[in-house]
Amino acid sequence: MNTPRLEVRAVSKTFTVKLHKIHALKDVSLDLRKGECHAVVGESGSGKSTLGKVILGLLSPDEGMVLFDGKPVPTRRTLPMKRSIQLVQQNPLSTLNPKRTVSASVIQALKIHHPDLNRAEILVRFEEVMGEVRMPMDLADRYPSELSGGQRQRIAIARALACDPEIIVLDEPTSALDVLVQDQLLRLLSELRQRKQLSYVFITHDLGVVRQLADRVSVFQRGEIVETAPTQDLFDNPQTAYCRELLSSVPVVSEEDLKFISNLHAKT
Amino acid sequence: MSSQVKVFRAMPQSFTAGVFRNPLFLSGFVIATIVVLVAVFAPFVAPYPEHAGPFVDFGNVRTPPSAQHWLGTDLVGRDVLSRVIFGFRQSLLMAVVVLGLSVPFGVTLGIVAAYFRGFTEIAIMRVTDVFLSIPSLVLAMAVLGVLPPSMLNAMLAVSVTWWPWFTRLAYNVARAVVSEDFITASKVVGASHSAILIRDVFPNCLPTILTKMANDVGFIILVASSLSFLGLGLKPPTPDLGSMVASGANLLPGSWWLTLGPAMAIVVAVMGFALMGDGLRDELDKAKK
Repeated sequence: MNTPRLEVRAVSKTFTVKLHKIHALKDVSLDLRKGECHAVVGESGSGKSTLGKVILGLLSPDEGMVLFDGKPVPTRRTLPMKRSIQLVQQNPLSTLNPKRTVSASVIQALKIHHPDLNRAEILVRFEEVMGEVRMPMDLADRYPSELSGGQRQRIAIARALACDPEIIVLDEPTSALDVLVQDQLLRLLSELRQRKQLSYVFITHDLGVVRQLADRVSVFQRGEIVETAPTQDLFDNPQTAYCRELLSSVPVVSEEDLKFISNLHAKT
Repeated sequence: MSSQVKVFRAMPQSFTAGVFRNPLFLSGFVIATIVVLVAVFAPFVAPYPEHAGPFVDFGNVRTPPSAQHWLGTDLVGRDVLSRVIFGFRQSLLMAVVVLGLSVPFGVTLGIVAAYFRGFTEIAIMRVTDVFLSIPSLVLAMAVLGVLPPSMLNAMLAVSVTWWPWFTRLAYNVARAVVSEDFITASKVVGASHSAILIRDVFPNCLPTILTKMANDVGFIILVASSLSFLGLGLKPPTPDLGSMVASGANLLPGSWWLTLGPAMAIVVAVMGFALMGDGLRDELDKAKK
């Protein structure tokens, strides 16, 4: 239980843009246990998403390595490796192929990772996954353009779940959604985590979301982790000046505000 | 399933319906359909089908347009209208074969270059640039300088000049598609390169490619006509719009109908397909917004 499923060890990544070297990640280390939600926070451009790409194997680090179950992950990942670590992206408008129905997108993931299942079994699994993200089956044959942002994000989660992952990298999955839909989606994510013992790497700049979902937090500044702490400790007693500044800049949405907004929503 | 599914089923058709309400596309579509039908049913439509072959009637040489011969007769007394109608056949066959050869080849290279980047991209795109830097007609003439002039070789020659345009177009469109989040998502899910190219990249490039294809039908007819005009296309007596204009041009302005008929036929066919392409492009631009 307490051995980390995923370890990022001293990872560095440099990009060269117009002859300038940009250190997107500097000596970043992080670990993730089974069922844990580890938030990665920081301002835009602080390297959070680059870390996500390194964890997913979309970028290979210049230095350091990623370990899964204590073993280093090879540069060319095998299919079971890909299955274990999945992704939910930020922008609901572009996360799904506009030319394919949502069922096609999810079923593709099912087929890749369950080549032994026949058509009927795949469909059963598809219905299960749609149920898990609370999507009605009559939306299955729609195109992404016919769905709302929240629904598209649910489909993106369904596509990730179709692979039976152990870890999901959530790259600001709720930042493009309105507060209410955001809240529903976060509840869904935390419920799925508990039920399926999933681990999340939750990349976000929204500290309110962090408080709601994360067990531990790593704060990024210019490609470096300035502080890693259990969520409550970080909010109660931030150790660095940068974290204190970050925390003081958070607008707080109270339970009352949220109720007020949902009442408005109910009336319209 | 439920009625909602049926609502969605109607969705892709709503784009089609929109396209058919576009006046540019609709007029182009009507013209193009008439041209295609006339070409297909040429033996039934043409007033003198036998005039398309080796036929002479020295009693009726170079008669101006009349009730019997709407577009007049040519140097050996053949009905110009009948020959124009049969001429459409060669022109359309040319367009179909050239597009059929050059589009799959060109588009595949373009999206492969855009997707894999690196050395593959450099190799494909620089070769494409070399082909693009030579004017189509000059390149086609060079190819026909090596191969004996015939209909098939003319088709091959024009195809050789045509694919790089589709490579460049597909490359440009695919470059934008490849950077979309859903491509990353497919990679993360574990889809193979070929699956990503076929299911994710290609369908999102297709509308633009179709638009160019519709526009190109007209231009291919023009290039084919130019080749026949230069004597590098079809051999007589098979009627060909380009060679008809060419031979008629020697007798201007006296026997003007020998040029006007086939020239107008080229204009109409080119216009029909070009209008269709433009209408399609307008509707796709709307759909993007």
